Amino acid sequence: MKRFGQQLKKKSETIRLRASERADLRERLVSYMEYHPLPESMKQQKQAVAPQLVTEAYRTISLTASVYFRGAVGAIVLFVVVGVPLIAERSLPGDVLYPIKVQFNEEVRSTLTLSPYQKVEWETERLGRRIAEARLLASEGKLTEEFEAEVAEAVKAHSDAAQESIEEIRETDAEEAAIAEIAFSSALEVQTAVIQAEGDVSSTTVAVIAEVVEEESAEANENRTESENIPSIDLLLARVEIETTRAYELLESVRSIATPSEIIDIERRLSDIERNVGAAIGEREADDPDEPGVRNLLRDALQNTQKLISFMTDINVRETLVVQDLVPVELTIEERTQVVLLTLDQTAVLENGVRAALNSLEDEAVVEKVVFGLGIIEEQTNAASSSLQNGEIESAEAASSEALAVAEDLANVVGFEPNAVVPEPEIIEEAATSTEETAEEEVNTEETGTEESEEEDTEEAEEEIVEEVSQPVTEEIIETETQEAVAPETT
Amino acid sequence: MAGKGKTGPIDAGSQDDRFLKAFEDYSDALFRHASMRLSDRERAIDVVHDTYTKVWTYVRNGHEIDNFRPFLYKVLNNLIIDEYRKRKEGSLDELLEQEGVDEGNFDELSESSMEALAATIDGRKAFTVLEALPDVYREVIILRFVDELGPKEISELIEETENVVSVRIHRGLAMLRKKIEAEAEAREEQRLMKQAKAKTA
Repeated sequence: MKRFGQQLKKKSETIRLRASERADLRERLVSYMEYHPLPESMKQQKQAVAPQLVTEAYRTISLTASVYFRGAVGAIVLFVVVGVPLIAERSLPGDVLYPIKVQFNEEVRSTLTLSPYQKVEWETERLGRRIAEARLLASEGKLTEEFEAEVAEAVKAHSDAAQESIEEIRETDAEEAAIAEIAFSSALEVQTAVIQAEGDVSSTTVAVIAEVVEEESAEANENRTESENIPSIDLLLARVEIETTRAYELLESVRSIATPSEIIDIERRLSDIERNVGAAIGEREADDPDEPGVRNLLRDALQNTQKLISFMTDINVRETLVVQDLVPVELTIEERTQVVLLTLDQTAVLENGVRAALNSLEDEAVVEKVVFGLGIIEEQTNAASSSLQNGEIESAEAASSEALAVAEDLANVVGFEPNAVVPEPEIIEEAATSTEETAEEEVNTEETGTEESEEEDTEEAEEEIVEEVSQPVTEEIIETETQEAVAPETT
Repeated sequence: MAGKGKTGPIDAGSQDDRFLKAFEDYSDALFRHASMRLSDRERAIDVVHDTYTKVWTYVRNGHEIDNFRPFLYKVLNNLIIDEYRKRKEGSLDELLEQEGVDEGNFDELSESSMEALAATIDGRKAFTVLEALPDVYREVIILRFVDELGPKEISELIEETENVVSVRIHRGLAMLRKKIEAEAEAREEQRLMKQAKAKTA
């Protein structure tokens, strides 16, 4: 019978009201109910009686309780799904929620990155996050060796993951891979700089991490050299264009919050980059373009732009570093000329001092040596001057510094003290730290053009030399030289 | 069933709500029942509508209904009988009369024998021949197997003894089987005829 009943019922269930019929029927019924409402007496009765009814009251409470319960469960679920990950975002190693941040939030975002390029970016960001966490812990004095090792491991893992993704890109698109590599290595350089800056404060705590980051950075650079003839210059140019546009946009947006000197710094670096890009384009259009040189120029421009962007976007970076740490200033031809002239001036001062002291010297061997040295100085100075006139700035720099070095040697030999006489080369310092005057100068040079402004600048520099008189030049000069060595050279 | 004459405190809001809930819960089943009894969709919808308006009027008059389902079935059943009366005057009464004197034999009264009988019938085929059954049998079979009411509920609903209900179900099932067999035979004959035709052709 059961079967019969089931079959019959199942079959009969094909008979049912259509949704429209049902809605229609309901409509008819409801309007009937409205036309024939319950008598007033029943409603009044209810209002009068209901509050006294104990059972009614109980029913009300039990209903709201279930609503409360559902609401509470809903709130808890919502909190677990949305709230916990949000709170976890702010956690640090050692916090209860830290594993959720690293193993849930970040992994989820990892799986959401669709392209390997995005994955590289994301892994780089995670790497930065780990380092920021370590720095935060260190600043609170909570960075134990255990956490340090963990962070170092995580940094390595993220770096490896990023490089893996780069390899993945390389399989399909070698050019994109090269671009990604550049971005990755500039990010690593930024992190290295951050850690090194931090290292000055608490050298032992972040040492391990710094080591790992430097290793990874070196590794990335090593990989970079493998792909020498890619990316293509066009792609590089396009990328530089994109990144500089972004940098300018960022600069506009931070203009209100950044300090004036920071803005001037950034503007100066951006104009450096543009000048380099211009030089690269010029070189490329030349008859016999130096392609690796152009590529290097563009690559450095790209990296510097990326560093500037990270300076503007990453508060950690901005707090620990000044722009100069990330992207050293690049002197224009004019500025470099000034440096050479200054060097020559200092040399002349020393030379005069030595010549003056020469008469009082008695040891003939020493005199002979000094005279020989003076000859070299003269030779180098002349070489520098002629190089300057021919516009060969690099040989001028080399000759002038050579002359200065010899002059210093001689000064030492004869016991000449230059302190009292030689002025501090203010222009150099300004170029390095970029105060407002430098920016004005920059404008000046831009206005007056390239070659003609040389004389004016020289005059200015000389005026300043007269104005300011102070201590050791030599150190200053050497510092500038090293900075220039670090900064990418214009060819 | 209906708690007649109960004039205790009534919550008007909840009366409305309960009534509408009864509509949501049972309108489909009631429609199905009516549709199978009347074999007419449009009429079935009207009958269901009338059922609910009647019940609402009953509620308005101050009566409280504890359990809507049997009450709704009762009203629906009455309306369907009215509908039959309209269609063919007298035939139902005759049938009922005839039925009334028959007490039924032992077999027909036993639940187990009914089950045995039902087991021999294909429910899907039964659905198609159900229409051809006289309404007194169709009514109980639908109530029993489609609406899944118990014999006691059915007896209350159609105001007959449980015995009568059992007998009717039993006989109804027997009729169903006969009809199904007859149909199968007819089809078989047709098939043979066709074959014969095909052969002669």
